[in-house]
Amino acid sequence: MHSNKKLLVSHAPFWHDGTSLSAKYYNIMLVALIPTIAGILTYGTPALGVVCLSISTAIIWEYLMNRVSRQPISIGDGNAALIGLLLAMMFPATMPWWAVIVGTFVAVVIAKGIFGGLGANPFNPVVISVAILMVSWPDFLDFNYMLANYDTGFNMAYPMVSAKYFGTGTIAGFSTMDLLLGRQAGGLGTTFGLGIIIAGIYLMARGYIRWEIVVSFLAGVFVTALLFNMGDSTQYAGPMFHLLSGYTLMGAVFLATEDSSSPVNFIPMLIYGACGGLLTVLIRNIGVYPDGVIFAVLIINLVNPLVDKIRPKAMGRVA
Amino acid sequence: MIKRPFFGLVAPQLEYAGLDTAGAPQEVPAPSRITLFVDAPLNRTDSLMIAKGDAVKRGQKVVPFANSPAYTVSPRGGTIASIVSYTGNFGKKLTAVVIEVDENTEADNKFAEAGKTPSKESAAEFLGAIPGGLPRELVDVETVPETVVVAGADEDFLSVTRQYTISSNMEGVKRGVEILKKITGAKNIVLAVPGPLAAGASSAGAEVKTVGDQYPAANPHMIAKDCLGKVIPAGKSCADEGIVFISPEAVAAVGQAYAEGTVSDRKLVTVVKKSGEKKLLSAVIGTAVGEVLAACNESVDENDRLVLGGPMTGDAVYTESYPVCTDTDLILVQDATQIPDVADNACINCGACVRICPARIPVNVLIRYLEAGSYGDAADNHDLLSCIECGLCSFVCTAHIPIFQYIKLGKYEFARSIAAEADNAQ
Repeated sequence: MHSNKKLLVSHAPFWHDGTSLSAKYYNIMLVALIPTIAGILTYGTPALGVVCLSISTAIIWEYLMNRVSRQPISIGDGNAALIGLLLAMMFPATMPWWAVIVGTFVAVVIAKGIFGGLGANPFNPVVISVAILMVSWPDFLDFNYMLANYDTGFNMAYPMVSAKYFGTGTIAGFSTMDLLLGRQAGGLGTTFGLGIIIAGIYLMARGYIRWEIVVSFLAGVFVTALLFNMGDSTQYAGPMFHLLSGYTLMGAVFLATEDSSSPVNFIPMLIYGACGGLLTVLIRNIGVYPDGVIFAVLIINLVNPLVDKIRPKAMGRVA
Repeated sequence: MIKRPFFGLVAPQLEYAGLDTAGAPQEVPAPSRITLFVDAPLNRTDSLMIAKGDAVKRGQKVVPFANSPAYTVSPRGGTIASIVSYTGNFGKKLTAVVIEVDENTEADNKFAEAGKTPSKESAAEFLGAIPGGLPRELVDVETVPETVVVAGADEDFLSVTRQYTISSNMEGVKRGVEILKKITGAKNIVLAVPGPLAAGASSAGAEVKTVGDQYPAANPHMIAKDCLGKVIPAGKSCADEGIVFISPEAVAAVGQAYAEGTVSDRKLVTVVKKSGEKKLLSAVIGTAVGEVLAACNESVDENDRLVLGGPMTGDAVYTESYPVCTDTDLILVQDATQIPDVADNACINCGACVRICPARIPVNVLIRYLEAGSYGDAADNHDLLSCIECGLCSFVCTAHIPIFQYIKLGKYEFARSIAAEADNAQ
């Protein structure tokens, strides 16, 4: 029964629907470039420098981590580059070069590599990195301080800080249109709301991110902010402001949806997202930080394994 | 190959191929040498009852071992050229009997004698190798199946073999259903067919149920759930629950056997070429797959893949000499360039498998236990045994993890550990 012709033998199935890790991460990067390019147009060459440095160092860290841990080189899947890009989007355009390198080190090596690499990270590496930078060097993520000398032609007071410490009167100047079109201070890739919304719709429609998380996160922000605003509209900003300023859209589209640290079942995704939105506004309105997205995402990452236990009973399961 | 649609907001809908070729199947010329499998390992040559050079009559029952009832039926007469061991998936040991065909040998008449009145005993004794395959549970004298399902819908993609039998040989199926009613004592006989064939199937004398057109609606577990309203408990087979599945070809063959005294020797096969062209052929059981492909001008080269039984659930074979078996509904040839890769990536928890799993298994959690080799934990707490083996999880896996292979391996190892425990307990 044997012949010399060598046929390829493997286990079923013999078809694949053609998805791949690299397609997923390159698609996310592609649309993340929309708000990033808007940021580069606003802030100029320094922003471009931060983006390039962040992406390249993230790839280098990934490569070094692969070598040290004797794993196959995985920079081709695009995940490291994506981490670099997302991290840069959240930085001010004037971020010092060494802080960018520290940021990508924390994200790629500490938050991802140490836990076992792609798919094994319990928290979103980008969020871990921003959180550590925020706590270690608060000034570098204080946009009023970092962007003080920029003349962009619009109000450069960081809206999150204004809303938190000076009441809603100080943010009356920000129209919804301003916030959508990026006429606000903030992370270089997080201010162009419209671009992030377009990116989010593309990724949800193509199934690269899970729409349930995005929608419930935004709904959580909206409802909580609305309740606060109804309670005291002079102290607490309205829901549209909370949706379109700070890291909200960035968090809903790019951060909370990171695969490894988010649930996959329907009801858990809704709970996860809604909790994220709720916590975001709670931290902003009654917490100590001007923007709550980072810590909100960390907390929902933390409860993800628990909420994801809510799932339908498997077919034929007896017990 | 079905690809992921551009938009992926919801899980993709995967439709079965409808029956589009209405023409009669092309007959593959009778081969000069046939290979027949006997479901017993070739361990001790001393118990062999047949030997190289023995003459075999057309339609003769071949029982290789004195200590095992396993047998095959030679569709053609000739002499035994060799008896060799064959190892299939997961170490399954079979015995292959190769017969040099001589067209001038006479027909064996043992079944014609024994099968004058249809009975379970004569079916079990002589019809074990009919085209389509006769399920052992159907002719087991100890038990009576509650429901016999004639599965007229092809379980896997691409295949039209069963649908063609339903649409072209309704008379034969009807004749077989009557015999089955008589000999099995089953309470009900159900004919499960795809929607377009339902109207024509009503004359079969069996209750007609329509199978959905989305994969895996024709999977036996799904037919049991959707058509019969019976969910098979995890770890149990359909036969355990009294539901026996049989292909329409086998039903027609049973009918023919008792009506005419001879057993059909040709198996209907759908061949899907590298180009995607689909062809129906009929080949003598035991014909080498290579000869079937040659008959439809298809060649297999180095590093191509030869699949028997469908792109989602079939088996890849390593040689073109592998024979057409009684249950070979489809032969699929994949060019080396068409073969998708598998990878040892870690699961990224994207949830594509969870969303597509028809059995609602937490595949993302299960795969972690399977990768770690914790098969007991996987079976007890993570629904390993609920798997109905449709292969969709691997099909959609973003990380290209061979999930289905892990699941099959897990089930196999779990069953082995249970058997070992039972042995130790004695």
